[in-house]
Amino acid sequence: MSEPILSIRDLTVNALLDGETRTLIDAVSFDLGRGEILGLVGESGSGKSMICRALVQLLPSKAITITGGSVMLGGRDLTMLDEDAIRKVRGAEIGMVFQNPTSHLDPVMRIGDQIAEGIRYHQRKSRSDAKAMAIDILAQVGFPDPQRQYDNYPHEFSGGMRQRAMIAVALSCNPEILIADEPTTALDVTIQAQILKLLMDLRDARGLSIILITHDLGIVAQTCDRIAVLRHGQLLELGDKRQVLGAPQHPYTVSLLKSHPSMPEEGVLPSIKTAVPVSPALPLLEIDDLVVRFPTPGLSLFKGGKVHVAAVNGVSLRVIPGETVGIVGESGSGKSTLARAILGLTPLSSGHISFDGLDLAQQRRQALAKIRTQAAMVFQDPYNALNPRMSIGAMLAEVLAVQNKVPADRIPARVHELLDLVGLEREFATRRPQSMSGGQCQRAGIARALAVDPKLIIADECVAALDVTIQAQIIDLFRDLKSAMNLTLLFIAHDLAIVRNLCDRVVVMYRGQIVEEGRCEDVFARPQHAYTAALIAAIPDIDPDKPLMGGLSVEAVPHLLTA
Amino acid sequence: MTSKWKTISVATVLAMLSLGSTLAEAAGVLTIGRREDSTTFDPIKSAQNVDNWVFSNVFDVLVRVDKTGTKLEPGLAESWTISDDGLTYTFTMRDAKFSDGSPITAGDAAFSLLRIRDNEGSLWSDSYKVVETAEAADDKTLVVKLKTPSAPFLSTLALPNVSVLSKKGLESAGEEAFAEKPVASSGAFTVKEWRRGDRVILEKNPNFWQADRVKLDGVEWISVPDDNTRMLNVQAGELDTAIFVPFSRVEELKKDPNLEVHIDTSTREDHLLINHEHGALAKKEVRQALDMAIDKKAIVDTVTFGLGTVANSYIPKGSLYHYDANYQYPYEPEKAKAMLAEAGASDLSLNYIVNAGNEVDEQIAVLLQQQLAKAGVTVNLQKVDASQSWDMLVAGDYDISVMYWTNDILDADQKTTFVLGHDTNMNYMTRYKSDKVKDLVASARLELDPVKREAMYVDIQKTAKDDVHWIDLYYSPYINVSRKNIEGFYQNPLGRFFLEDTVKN
Amino acid sequence: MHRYRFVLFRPLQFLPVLLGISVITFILVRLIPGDPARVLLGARSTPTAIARIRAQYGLDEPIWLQYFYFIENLGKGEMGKSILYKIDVLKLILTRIEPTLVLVLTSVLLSILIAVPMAALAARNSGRLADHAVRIISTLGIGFPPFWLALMLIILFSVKLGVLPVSGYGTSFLDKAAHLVLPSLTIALSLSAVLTRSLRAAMIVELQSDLATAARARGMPESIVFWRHVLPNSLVPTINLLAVNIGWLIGGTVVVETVFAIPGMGQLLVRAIFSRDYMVVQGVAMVFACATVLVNFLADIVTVTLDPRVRL
Repeated sequence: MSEPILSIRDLTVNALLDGETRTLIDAVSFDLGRGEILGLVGESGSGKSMICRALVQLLPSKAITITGGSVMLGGRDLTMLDEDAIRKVRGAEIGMVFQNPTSHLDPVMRIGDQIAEGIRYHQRKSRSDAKAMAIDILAQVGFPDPQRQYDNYPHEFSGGMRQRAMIAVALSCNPEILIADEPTTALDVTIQAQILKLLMDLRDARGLSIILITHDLGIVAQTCDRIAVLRHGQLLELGDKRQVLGAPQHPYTVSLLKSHPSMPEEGVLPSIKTAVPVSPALPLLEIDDLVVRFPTPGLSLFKGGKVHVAAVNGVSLRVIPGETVGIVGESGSGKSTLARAILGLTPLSSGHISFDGLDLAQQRRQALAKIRTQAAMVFQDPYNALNPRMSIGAMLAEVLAVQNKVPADRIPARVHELLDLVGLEREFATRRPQSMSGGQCQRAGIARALAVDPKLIIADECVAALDVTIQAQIIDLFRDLKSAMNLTLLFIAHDLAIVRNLCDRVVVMYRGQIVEEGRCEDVFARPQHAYTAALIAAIPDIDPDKPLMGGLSVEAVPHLLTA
Repeated sequence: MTSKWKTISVATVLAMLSLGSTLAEAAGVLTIGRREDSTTFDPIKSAQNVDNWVFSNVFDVLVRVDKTGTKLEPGLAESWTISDDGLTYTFTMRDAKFSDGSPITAGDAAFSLLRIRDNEGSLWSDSYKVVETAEAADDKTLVVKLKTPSAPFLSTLALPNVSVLSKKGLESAGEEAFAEKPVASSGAFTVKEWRRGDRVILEKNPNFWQADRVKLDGVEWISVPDDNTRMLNVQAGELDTAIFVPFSRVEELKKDPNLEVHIDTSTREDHLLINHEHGALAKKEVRQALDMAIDKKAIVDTVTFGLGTVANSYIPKGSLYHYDANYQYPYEPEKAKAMLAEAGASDLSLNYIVNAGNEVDEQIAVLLQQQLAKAGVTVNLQKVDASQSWDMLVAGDYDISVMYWTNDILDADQKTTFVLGHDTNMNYMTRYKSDKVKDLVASARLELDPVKREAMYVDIQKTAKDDVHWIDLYYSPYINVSRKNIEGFYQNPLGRFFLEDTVKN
Repeated sequence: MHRYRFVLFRPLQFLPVLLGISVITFILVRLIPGDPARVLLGARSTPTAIARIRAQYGLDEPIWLQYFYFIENLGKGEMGKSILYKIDVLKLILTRIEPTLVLVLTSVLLSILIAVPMAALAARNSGRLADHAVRIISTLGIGFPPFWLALMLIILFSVKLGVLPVSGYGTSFLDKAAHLVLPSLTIALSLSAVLTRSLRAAMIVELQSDLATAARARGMPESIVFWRHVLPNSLVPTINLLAVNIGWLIGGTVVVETVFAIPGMGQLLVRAIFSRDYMVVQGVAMVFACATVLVNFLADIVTVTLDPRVRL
């Protein structure tokens, strides 16, 4: 490693909450080399974001303070600087890119002005000079028409372009160090690959030093030079990427690696295959040429009224009882609309959905009644999907009572059975969601789905909000339930790796249509559609020697950038 | 900016603003604050005091009421003669000019009199139906023929509503434009500007036949609806005078050395209406008992702060034909109770309509409720909006209610007819019936001998009191306030302001 | 620019709204007991005189026919004749519209000038003394009845200090300005309290928002973070609150116009209601309704301008 540009020693951050001091960052030390990309890996609560905020004294609350250690940059200890001095460091010497570009960009200010703002303030440039420089930066981060796009507002861009804009804002004052805090977590997989490539290109072009914060070891493997693993505010392991990934020292690192979805799991897949019924049974769910259109917002000038956009456009699908079908696609591909249509939550424009022989269009009332009693949904956000005022036991009991399938005196026993099934202790019956972790909430959500005793479970991005080790646990849970209860599962996800590990069959959606469908191993091994191939290639593999995008050029991907 | 500079700049702005406001004032212009603004300048189209009081300054009448409010005196008519049959009136016109310089002729007077009788928009046509013809014999002689003899006729000519208007001026301008700004005025002042909702600006009419008498350069009638604000304006010296001073403010204003409070006799009488058609109220003894159960002195003391006087007749004290020796029921609640029991009305329960939001009315209501309770009468107060209460009274949908009356003309006939003459309004909503009184009222109207006529009115007042057609409560004065530098600010009992005699020093 | 296309089409929706308001006010004003003819004639009214006046103003016609005439007149740009003032209602309103309009505008302006710095002070010192002070002042501002506040202001500035006129409207520009200080201050003290509360809450949220953090992370000083990022993002809900409060504001002008003797529409309305001058009540109600609709329309335009995400 070359001479470090940033040197952190024994950095300690404490929080004073209700008179009680908690250590959030526990004497962490590491260096950032010039031109290096350092990966800061850990799960939520590990303190990886807190460290970076502490570097520039942007701590989220007055109750959280730096209590020890030093951060040396250019001969100064940043922890000692006063507000005026640290402000000159922010942006000008250390730029920051945040996870959610939508909330971190000012929605009512033009993109270009947000870039020019820093230039004018830090470099004392005139309005026109700053604008010219901002346009130049926009071009550097990949805006195709920076002159015009300077005047656009954040909401007029896709998520990927917004993240590019954030990077442009961070780069506006020529910082030497860039801190990217989960810069791709909110993005689709193909866009993620582009952003990561952009960061690497910028490092090469500008000699930037980058701290990349992520929970995804695949990203680290593909982009970083060195890796630091954090847990509970402590640095567990620090070393060269290949060394950490190839020969992890700390047991936690080992478990992180194991739970990465891109790792094929031996011995499990074959057993699933045998579960697939060989005989062509009657399909539980049959979708035929389904179209769901939405009117575009705004008033049309012309007669005939509104322009409609087809969110689902001619989708046909058969799901046989006991089958696990994965539906993958990027945001806007129509996969969630499909799920809502199946549950009768959104009107069909044309085509048919029949559930267990009942047609949702023709026998709507009966079909809906059947769906309500025999299908259940597991949602993305486990906290919001549960009633915060109800204990888990009460919530399950309520579902059971409404369903009326279990006699009243059997309900408490059934609640315990359900908790057992999803791997929660029985004492959780008395707990409320706010005292539970995300993983535990999602287990409760699954228990609620199971309480219906459903023939079909639809899981919509049900692990997307969870940490990687918890994700793996939930996937395992689904796998266990499937084999134990012969569940039929429709598993919707943007993460191909997860689908690959769980499902028998995969359906790839792109712009409202199914572009590819087939048995999981076939599709992943030999994708027929270029889009599927690009999707698979964009998954950051945990093997650093498998290059990002599998050698496909970023531009070849028919992504949704223009949408 | 330092705080010192802030202070200075704020002070400068305030100073500039206050400069702006003082520039408007001019010497010799009297400013009068009143509740409401005028509604029109066509005298026949209003029956409101706000208008009539301004009409008196702008237009002159053939016959005027003097300062005491008890005598008629010549106005634009220099003199007049009445034929023996009482049907023909011949007026000799004074040498006078309208503000535009044209002479005021008998033709104009005839036109004005016939207009108030015949015009579709006239609110006063009923009062002049008695006029058969009105003709100008020549420019100086007006001959009016009546359908029947009418003792009060002459005094109706003093109403500001029948003021002499310029026939030519009105016809050339058109009725609507004239109502906005009368082109030719016959009175002491002319309308210079009317800022609707805000003020009427009058300036001295140099062609007024008594122009020498007028000291003021002009008058501004300014609408300040809120009583407190109006008083504060006078206290701050921004208004010279303010009218409608609430009883409760008199003591305080009297203490202000810069101010003078004027208490001028008026014709206002507050009385308690009784619905004679409702059950026991039909019995004279019951009504008498009620009169005895009411302590009028207590009402005068509490409600008018002692500024009013207890009423003993429907004709107000100081007015023509007021019978000062009229009977006054004593305040004897115990006796009242006994009388009620005797009349079989010991558990009398009355529905009392109160004008909501009227402070004085509400005060009286509470007092009466307490007083009547002592005589064993239950009173249920029903508060309604003023316009609504009027409807309920007309419909007979009440037992008792307090109302007031002010005279427009000095003759007693107008009020007497409305209140006792069995006119179409059910004797002012009381449903009082007395053929004796009815006949007396009709003959008093025709009796031209003042002495005999007075005797008839005394008779009427005695009978009405004995029958308790309503219960007379109190008379109250006009209360106005002016700055000390204002002299001769006076209102006669009929409400006319003698601004031609007012001086601003 | 098609985000502003609603500016062309929205006015088409006004028509049914205003028609509905016209029906409601027309019926409501006639439902109040009382008779304009009786008020006009005063204590000397006789049934024949009342019947004559009623016929003169078409009040004896069936109510649906009266409404028909009202709408027919509106179509011709007329609002009928005032019973009390005997002139065209539209003409009458035109003589009274300026003071109210000016009063409302200056009050709103003054409210904003008070509310923005107060809210900024409170939000930037959230939880500290300045914040508590602002919150107490706002609570008082909402709590004080406007007519009481108005009298106190008159007594202080006009009677004791003698620097401002007690009441009235004035003629020249300076004169009007002097007369408007206290009335608009009276309204502004209440209105700015409402605005301050809303703005302060929005600012506190925005100060802790991601976009503020991002601006700080690029080295922007607190003043730029606040005025350039936090303020614009806090304004939108407050603009809409202001629009919603326009009805309250109109109610407020009625009180303030009466106390300060400002010859505006509020006073006209009060007197018209007490006189049961149906035509004037209808006319003023229509003007107020139009104003409310228009203000909300303007608020939408401002919202679309302030927040590029909004589409209407």
